[in-house]
Amino acid sequence: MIKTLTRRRALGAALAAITLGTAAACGGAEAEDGPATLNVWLMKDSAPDAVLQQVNTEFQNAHPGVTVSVQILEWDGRDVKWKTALASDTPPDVLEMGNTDVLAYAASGGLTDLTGREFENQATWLQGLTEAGSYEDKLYGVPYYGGDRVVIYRKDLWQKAGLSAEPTTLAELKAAGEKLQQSGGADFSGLYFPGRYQYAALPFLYDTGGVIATRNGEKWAGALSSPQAQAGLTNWADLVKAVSKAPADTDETNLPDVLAQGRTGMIIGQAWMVGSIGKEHPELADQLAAFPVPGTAGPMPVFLGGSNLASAAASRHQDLAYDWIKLMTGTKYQTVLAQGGLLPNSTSLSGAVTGITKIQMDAAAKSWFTPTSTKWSDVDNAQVLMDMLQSIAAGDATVAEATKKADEQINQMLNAA
Amino acid sequence: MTTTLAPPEPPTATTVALAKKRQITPYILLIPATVVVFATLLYPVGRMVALSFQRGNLGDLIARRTVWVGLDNYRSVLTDPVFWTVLPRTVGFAAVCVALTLIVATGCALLLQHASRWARVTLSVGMVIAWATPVLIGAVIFKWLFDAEFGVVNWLLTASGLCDCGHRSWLGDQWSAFAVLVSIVVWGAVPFAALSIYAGLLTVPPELAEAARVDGASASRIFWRITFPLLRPIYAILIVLSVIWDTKVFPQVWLTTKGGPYQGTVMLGVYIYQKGIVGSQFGVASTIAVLMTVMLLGLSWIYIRAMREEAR
Repeated sequence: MIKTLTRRRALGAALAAITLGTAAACGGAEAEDGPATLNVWLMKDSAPDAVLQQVNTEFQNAHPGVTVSVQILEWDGRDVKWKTALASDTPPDVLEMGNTDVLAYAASGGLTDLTGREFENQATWLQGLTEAGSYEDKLYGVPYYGGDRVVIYRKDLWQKAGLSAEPTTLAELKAAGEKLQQSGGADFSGLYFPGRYQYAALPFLYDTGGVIATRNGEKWAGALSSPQAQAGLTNWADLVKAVSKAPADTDETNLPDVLAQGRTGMIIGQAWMVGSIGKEHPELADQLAAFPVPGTAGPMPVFLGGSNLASAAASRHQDLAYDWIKLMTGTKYQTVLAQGGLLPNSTSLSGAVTGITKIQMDAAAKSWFTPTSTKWSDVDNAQVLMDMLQSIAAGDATVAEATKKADEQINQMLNAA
Repeated sequence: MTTTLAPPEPPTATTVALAKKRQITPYILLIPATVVVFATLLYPVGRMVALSFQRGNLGDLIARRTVWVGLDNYRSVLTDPVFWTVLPRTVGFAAVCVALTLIVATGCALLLQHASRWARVTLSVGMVIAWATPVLIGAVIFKWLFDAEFGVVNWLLTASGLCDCGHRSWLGDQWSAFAVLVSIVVWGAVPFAALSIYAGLLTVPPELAEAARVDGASASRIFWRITFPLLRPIYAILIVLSVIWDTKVFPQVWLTTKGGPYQGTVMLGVYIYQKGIVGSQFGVASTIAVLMTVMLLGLSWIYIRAMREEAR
């Protein structure tokens, strides 16, 4: 112990650079014989405990003497924990990161370059997750599982309003929402859509052929005020105005409660909500159903969320970390996760999914991701898009004004020195 | 004292040792306090000042690189238009909070003084409970009270027929969001101030007020001419402390508005958090923190000096 400590101190910061540069060989080999603990940090609501136990048992059988220690992190405040941990002498060996998180940490040198390593189903990984885990054409985060949003509705309220067929176009969705809304009281929304719910609103812009920003060489340009993007956001604003009584200044935190309390007939939500609402309100378990968010023509391009698995650059168990990630992201356990309702990391596993997960998997075929600039987190942190959406939904600005302002902010932030 | 009375003794070995021991003892006694102050205050402040001259981004943190950038951070903060919006907003917010806190607290203290025994006990217990509530919990409670969908405030207003406020969003408008924030801060600050002022009131000799009353002075005249001047030191301390507390307000804002709507309630504390913890620009965040510390120290110093001179 003392020996490794002094050696680490001597190597100091150089270690990070070495392991980063020469990937596997260097960081791993020395420390990996004999008893070791592999520290794995996962996020809340990812793999169920039972699956984790199976994975760890199989892993420990294959690596005698190695113990896997799993810690579950809350999503709130995760970045503070990662930052302090990655800067410490003993970072976790494996980290689950939200797919929008990976880029900044990869660019900062905190994560191991996994480009040369082999993984199962690599060729058929979900495009959005692979993109999210890559930085400058190198792989830092292995796709772990995906998630996208679907329309979740209450069958009982749906029936009461005299609706039956699930809408397949945006116009039909709006009509259904209006009909629902008329069937309820003054507080009742057809489709409850909070103004700052960006990952449900931005698909409208991709639906009409818009994008958030475009890249030209090293320079980024906000594209929210393009005619295509404005058309999509106008569709969104029209829908929200017609079928939602949600406040313009709130985000999606309340959605499951609002649906469960019968204050809306539909929400756009993550598919796992169907299960969690059903568990909390057993009387609703049979009343919930879902369909893909309809677009102007065919399903709307969804924002592909999800998680990637990465390894800390300063981890002393690079090979073990790789083996664990490989096991977790391989066909065997991805199939188990898929049966549990998570979107598996590869399109080749679409046969394993049923029900709502199948709806999600189909929707994921047409997906988009936030601009892959390392400075995108600045835009995100400054809440540029959420403020833009709120100002449109609240009527504080027209679509043209709001998008022009957001574009200016994006241009300034993404191209800052 | 005794040395002047008794003839001076020639220094012996024991007295010299004693004198030496006396010289050392106070320093030894100071060590624990010094260590604590150094470890919990001076060292972090020192690191903060040092960091304000470094780049300190996420990569630097992880690789433990120290990149000195001289005054670059100060230049970028002082030319940042957002900083110049946030600074006066913070000062204005603190001023309103401090003024309201002291006014309400004075009212409460006078009420405590004149109320009957049971009312005084009830009021004090209520204030102590409010004071003992952790800031985080207080902020979360206020957030739910004012929630647009499920909030008690909207429900009460609607139920009592005062307005149709089923979906009224208090945190969605800059001014009403500020009103909510001010009420959270003042609610949390009044008990301490009120109890301090009340303690001060107990030290004011009742004869003074009585004499003035006999001479026909009104209640407000008695307060401004007798009570307030006597309590001036207490008000001085309360003002300095409140200014410091209310300027660095953070959890109340972060838990309710997160700086919204449209970044309209971002104040220095939130701005530092956004830059540093959220945005990983630790150097820039430290710079803002240094500027804020200097500003607060300066304000306190000027104020304490003014109070002293007035007392002379």
